[in-house]
Amino acid sequence: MLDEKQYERIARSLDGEDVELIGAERQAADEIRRAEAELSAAMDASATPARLRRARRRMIAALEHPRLRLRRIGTVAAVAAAAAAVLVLILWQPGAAPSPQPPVRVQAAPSFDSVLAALEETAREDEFDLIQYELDDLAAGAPSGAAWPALELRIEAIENDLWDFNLDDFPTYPIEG
Amino acid sequence: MEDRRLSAMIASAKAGQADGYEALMEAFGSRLYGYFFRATRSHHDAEDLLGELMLRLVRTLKDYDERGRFEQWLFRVAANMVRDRIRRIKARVAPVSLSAERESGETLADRIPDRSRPADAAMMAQEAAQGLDEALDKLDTVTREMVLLRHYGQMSFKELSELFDCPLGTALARVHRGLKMLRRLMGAEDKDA
Repeated sequence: MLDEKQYERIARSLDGEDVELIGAERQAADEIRRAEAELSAAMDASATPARLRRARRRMIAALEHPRLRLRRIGTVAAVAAAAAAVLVLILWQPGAAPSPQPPVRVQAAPSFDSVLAALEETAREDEFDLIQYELDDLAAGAPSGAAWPALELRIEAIENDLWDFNLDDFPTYPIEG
Repeated sequence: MEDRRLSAMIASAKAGQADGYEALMEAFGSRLYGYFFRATRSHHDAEDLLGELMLRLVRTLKDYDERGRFEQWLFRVAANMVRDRIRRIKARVAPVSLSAERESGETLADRIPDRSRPADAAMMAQEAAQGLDEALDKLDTVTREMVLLRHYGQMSFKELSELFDCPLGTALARVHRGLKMLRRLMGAEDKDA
């Protein structure tokens, strides 16, 4: 049975450091090398060119439209806001409940275009940069053990759906030579 | 891969040139796909994760510190994505009864392949691959990830110990135990005997 120190020596040796292993240490190192070599063949799972091509297409689209994703999230948020406003209008019944205050009169539900326009007005580049920075930070640097808040997971799912909708439904045209 | 060539690819990509990203995809795409596939057991998820990773690369490459090893950084991002995906799937999964009937009267159990049917070569190959997948499933999550990252990410034990925040000896002990278990589950030890 090897102890922690011996395991550490084996690890350093397998990582390429000049460590002289003895007895059971050498045996364990050989065992690991052999098992990894055996598994290597079984692990191969090749991606078809079509799968790599689709991933490349998403990447190129992101290069061409770096802010598209955030604008799409903005669109989704605007649609949700408009829907909520309509719902409030439908559910609101003037005079249903007695109130000492005069009821607030809603003139009209905001149209989708007006909500979107308002959103676009407020969506300045600096703010996009800040949001983008936060997203990047979460994506690349956040400790993986930390649980993501449900809202962020939902945003991620919406992003994925939008990408799938946008990029996977492109018609393919024959290339004429 | 030659360091100078990799540095050129990274510099080109950081400059926002599509060629640089394409070269990185060419160099690492297949291995990343393999890692995603083994970690999720789904070609669909692997493709989806690879696409998502390339998007993240576009957004985050500027933050990559070139003093570190690029491959380790890339697979660290990939490992985090796999963990997020698994967590999300676990949150969604609902139990399904094998005997519950669909509208057609068919049950889920009816759709499971009959093991008594004669096997052809493709089926045998598929079963071998399934054997590996099932054996990997028997490992605990951290050990499985370490074994996969050793192979696909070509991570050293030192890099694994940093990524999983554990002592160097512990990282090696986990991989050693995991490999032994895989060999046993896949029948390799029987062949040796």
